[in-house]
Amino acid sequence: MKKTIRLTVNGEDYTVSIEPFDTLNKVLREYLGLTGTKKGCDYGGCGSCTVIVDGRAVYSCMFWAGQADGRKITTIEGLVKNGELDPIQEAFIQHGAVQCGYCTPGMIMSTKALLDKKSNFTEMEAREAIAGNLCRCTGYVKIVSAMMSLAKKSSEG
Amino acid sequence: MTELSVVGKRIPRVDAKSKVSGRAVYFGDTVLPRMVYGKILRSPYPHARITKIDTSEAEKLPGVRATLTYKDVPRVITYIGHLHPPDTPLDRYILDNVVRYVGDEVAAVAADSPETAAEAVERIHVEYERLPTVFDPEEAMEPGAPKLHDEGEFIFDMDRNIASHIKLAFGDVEKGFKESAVVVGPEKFKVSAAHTNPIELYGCIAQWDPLENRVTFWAPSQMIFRFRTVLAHQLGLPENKVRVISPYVGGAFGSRCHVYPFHAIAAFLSKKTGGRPVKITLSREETYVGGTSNRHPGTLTLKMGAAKDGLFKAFDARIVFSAGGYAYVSSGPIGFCCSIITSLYRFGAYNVEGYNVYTNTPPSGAFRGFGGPQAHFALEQIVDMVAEELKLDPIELRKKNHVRVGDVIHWSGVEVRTCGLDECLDKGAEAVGWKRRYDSAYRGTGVKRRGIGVAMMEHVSGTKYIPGEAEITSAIIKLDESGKITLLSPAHELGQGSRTVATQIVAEELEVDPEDVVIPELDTDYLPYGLGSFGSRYTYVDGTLIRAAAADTKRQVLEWAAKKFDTTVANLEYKKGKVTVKGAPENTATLAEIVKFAQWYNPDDVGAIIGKATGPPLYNAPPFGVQFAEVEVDVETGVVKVLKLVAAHDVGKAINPTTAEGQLEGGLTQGLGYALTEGVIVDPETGKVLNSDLMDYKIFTALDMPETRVFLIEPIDPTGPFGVKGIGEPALVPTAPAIANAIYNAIGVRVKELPLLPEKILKALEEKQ
Ligand code: FES
Ligand code: FES
Repeated sequence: MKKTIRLTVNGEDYTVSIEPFDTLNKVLREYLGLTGTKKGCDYGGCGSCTVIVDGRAVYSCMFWAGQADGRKITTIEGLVKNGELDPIQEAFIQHGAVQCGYCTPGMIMSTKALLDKKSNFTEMEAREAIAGNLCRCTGYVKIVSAMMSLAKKSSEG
Repeated sequence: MTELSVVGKRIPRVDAKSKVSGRAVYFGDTVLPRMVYGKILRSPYPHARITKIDTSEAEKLPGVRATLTYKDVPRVITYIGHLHPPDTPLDRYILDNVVRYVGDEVAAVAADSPETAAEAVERIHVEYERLPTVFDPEEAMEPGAPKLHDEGEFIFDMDRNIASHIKLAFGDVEKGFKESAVVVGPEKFKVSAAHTNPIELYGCIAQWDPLENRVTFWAPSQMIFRFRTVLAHQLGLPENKVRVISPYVGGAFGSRCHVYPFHAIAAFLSKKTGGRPVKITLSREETYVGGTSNRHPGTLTLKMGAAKDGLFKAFDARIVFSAGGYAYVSSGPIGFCCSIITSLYRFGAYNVEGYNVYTNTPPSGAFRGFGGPQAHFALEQIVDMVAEELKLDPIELRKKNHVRVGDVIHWSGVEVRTCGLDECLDKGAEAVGWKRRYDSAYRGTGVKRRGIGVAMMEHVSGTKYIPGEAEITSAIIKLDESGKITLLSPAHELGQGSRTVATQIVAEELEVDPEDVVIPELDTDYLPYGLGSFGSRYTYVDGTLIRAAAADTKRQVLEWAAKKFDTTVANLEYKKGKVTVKGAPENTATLAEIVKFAQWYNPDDVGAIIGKATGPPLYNAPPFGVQFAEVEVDVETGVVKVLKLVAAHDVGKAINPTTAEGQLEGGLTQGLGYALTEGVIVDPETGKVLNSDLMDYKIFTALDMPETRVFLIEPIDPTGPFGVKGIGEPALVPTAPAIANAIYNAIGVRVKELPLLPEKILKALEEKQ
């Protein structure tokens, strides 16, 4: 039985007709074509599907589409504004935090959720924020240093 | 060497913007018109014959477009691999009436949605006749063991399930042991079936064009040309009827060297649907059960003899790998393991024998290190055992025995031209605080004990001079009217940064801005031939040919500029992407102006500027590395906590220190996983994989990581472009033995079996008492 939901993604409103067992991941990737949100499992094991729902980082593969009705969602595509990268994206580039890139959108969204909550954070808090995001390439070293550069910036400013 | 302006610099990765913005398109993100979804039915049994198979119920399901069983595919004996040396066993059919491991391909369906395809495969009715099974490679070689294969080619000994066998010998081993003051062993080490585990799922899209009878694959790959060769063979087509495009790749680590059965299955399904594109995406569970390349598990039994002064007199090794149901690149990892184990040290004599043996388990294949991690896990521990017997410091003993400049590696004939091992040892020892390991107060006597360990490694930069292997690549550089540059290179970007270093090399050689260099997508239809990204080869091998292509381009630029300025090449100077007549700075032309001149000026003498180079690299420089681990072991729980990892690697020149460090840092995590948690576990009763998800197959997270330090040791190798050596694989090789040696330093027991789980530590502690 199809059902209609309304949601706001990256500031744009959408009306989507969904199946009962559709996940938010499917809505984003397949119905809306927002494939920047990845899928590396489908059970909360990898974190590559992380998006922000009403300010909270969630695994979109574990989030029922029905629950997304009326919510505000931010995906990796929403971070570029007026042709400018978000400072988090800049930091990931400058610190060499990207390799194959498959974990990257999820890592950035987890970082954003942390940063939106807390402008200054410790390295332990940074690591906790991405503990649910697996990366097989980087050893997290440069990801964490990119994150910490943002924490420092906000404490200075 | 002249001052470098781009090479050696930490420029941002050329693909970083597309990756941080979510614009990078991986195969799974692609939807093609009329695309359908494939799903594979896998065997529930480790060894069985299919006596009946009926797809009619599946076909009745609305939305099902095609089904496929062994009856539908040509009976072409093939292999799941990438290499083409004459001794790669041909041991399987794309689909067969016998299955040889739990997860083996039985049948497949293509349907309008992934959900329908999944439902349809459940409706395929299969009857099996169970066959006897064997899961342990040593048992599989025993007389009377169940036989896995009764047809095939290049299988070493089908009756004993031996896919490949290798033997290397040097000097008089018996005499060497007799002359040794200390002999350790035989000691048996056991290694686990770690899985590559890229975060991007496996799969591909295939489309069989019925009018052209031509198949296009969109498949993440480390080697598109070898994919084309293997797939053409499997599909019964000539190579020019197969096109392979590799989009962005979300991690590979060796596993995307293999053409898996799902590739050809997708193509055959596409053919049956009349040419619709078919996408197959393996689930995360299928990653583990579907035979997508575990590191070979097995045993290494070593014996080592040393003289009083510490020199290694004799070495003996017997290595048995489990191939799984089919032997992917069979002679590869076992051959490399047996080879590399002989060449890190100057043994007076050695005898090494290796077997790759069929068992009813998911197949093993290429995984970062290609036999090296197994070799060094055992070797670097027995070296420590010898050091203890001799009462010598493990670093001193290594320094006495390791290969050095001027030595010739027996198995490849390669001479060592640079060797940074001593510097790596010294740098690392200082960073980790090596001497503390001798302080009993540091090690402690309570519940938590500390220790420090070291391990070294050696590897290759590509495949030149590896017996049975080829090594080749090509590069084409095109200049266009804007003066911008296109590099056609088989730059398989897996995350390691190949496109970035290729860009830096072109920018350096032609003295242009890296932003002016474009490297198009990987496509067999137009790229010049090259092997790809594996064997730590791309920067060393392709870098050499890219430099040569740049030199060819520059030569042409100068020739056209000479015509333009009506002078000779000798009278011109090339600088910063411009050509100037010596002593006449007013006569200066940019690359754009020279290209325009060449393409437009003289109706009888026009031409485009296209530089090219193809061939082998100069050599195969062995990279070296040393890693140190500091651990804390809880003697009550057996839990090992790694406190610090230090990696000092001889990488030759780092073209981009950031990406080179990234290789080491990522490698350390994989090495740590290999040491402590990783391994696909097969139930010895049922043959089923017991840990087929990311909760049970434990990969290290950001929270679990210890402090790490990496040092790039950069002796300029005379054979590599700008002095580089390979770095991709070495990064994870010495981690596990360094940790095992640190554990021994902490608690005085040696666990010789990976992964080094708490229960094994406790058992070893108990046995000691
Ligand atoms: S796709 Fe892996 S956690 Fe959602
Ligand atoms: S960059 Fe490859 S998984 Fe993180």
